[in-house]
Amino acid sequence: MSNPMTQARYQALIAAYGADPLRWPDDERAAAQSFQAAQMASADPALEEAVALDTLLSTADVPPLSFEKMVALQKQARPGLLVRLRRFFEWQGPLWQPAGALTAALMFGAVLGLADPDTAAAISAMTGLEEISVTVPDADLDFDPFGEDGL
Amino acid sequence: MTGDSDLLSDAAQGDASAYRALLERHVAAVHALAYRLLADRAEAEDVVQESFAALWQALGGSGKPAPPDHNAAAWLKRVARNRSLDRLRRRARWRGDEDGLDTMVDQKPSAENAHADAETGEIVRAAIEALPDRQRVALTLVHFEEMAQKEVADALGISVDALESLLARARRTLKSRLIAEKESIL
Repeated sequence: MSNPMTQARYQALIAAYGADPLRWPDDERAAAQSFQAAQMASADPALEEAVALDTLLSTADVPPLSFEKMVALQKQARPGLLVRLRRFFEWQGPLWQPAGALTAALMFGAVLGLADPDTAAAISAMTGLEEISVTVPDADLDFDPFGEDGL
Repeated sequence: MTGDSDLLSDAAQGDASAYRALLERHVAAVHALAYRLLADRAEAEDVVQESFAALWQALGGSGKPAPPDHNAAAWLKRVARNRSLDRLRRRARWRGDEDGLDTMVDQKPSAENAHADAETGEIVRAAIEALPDRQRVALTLVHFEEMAQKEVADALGISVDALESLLARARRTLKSRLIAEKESIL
């Protein structure tokens, strides 16, 4: 149970916390405000000085963050490598998109490789299989696997 | 405007724009707290960088401390406050006499010297910076951050009575420097 508000305690609150009741201790605020209201008829130099100091304190500024530090902070403000990898492997889009792109790239590379007679001969020598060759008709030299006729 | 909850959730999912939005939203307040506590620009900027680095690590799932889920400002300020207090405790004068009137640190230009062309805010800021560390910290946390007395006393490792004594000394010191110049700076 809190003690009744006294003049001494009221002055101590003003001296420590200033004139704004919002900064007074929660458990003493109501009693202090009642005490203050009862005193309003008489001048209170301590309260007036506290109001003046609170007003001055409200003007105290802070120098801005340096440009260099702000640039450093902005560079730092990004997901870490683990978060980025997790985001990549938690791909939420259609699976055919990355899978299809990878497959198309592999097939395109295989076609280019097999179209080269030297490559086809080397593969045949290594595998023992009948030489496989791919003849690219002249008309298809501009074939684009990712275009209209592609995959 | 997107609240912190949405930004924190997006950042935890790896959304880079959410990181930048959190930075822009809270950097000024975190810097102001660190600067008022430390009264040293370089140290305050280091604390700001450490505080945001801690947030990015927490959002990345580092485990400790757990990231905030709705109030990034309170989380960041708690980290900044703790790191600032750690730095202050390593200062020699933190362990010394905290009686402001006799041992007031005055490494910054005095209010008298800076007064002629300085704005009121700069004069008041200089006076606050010149307070002994403990008094400045008590004033910053209670007056500027509006923290509860018990929480501030616990953060400083002192009783509420001792905190009120620090606050009263700080305000008395400031009053003696600023109120006397009231007519010239207002």
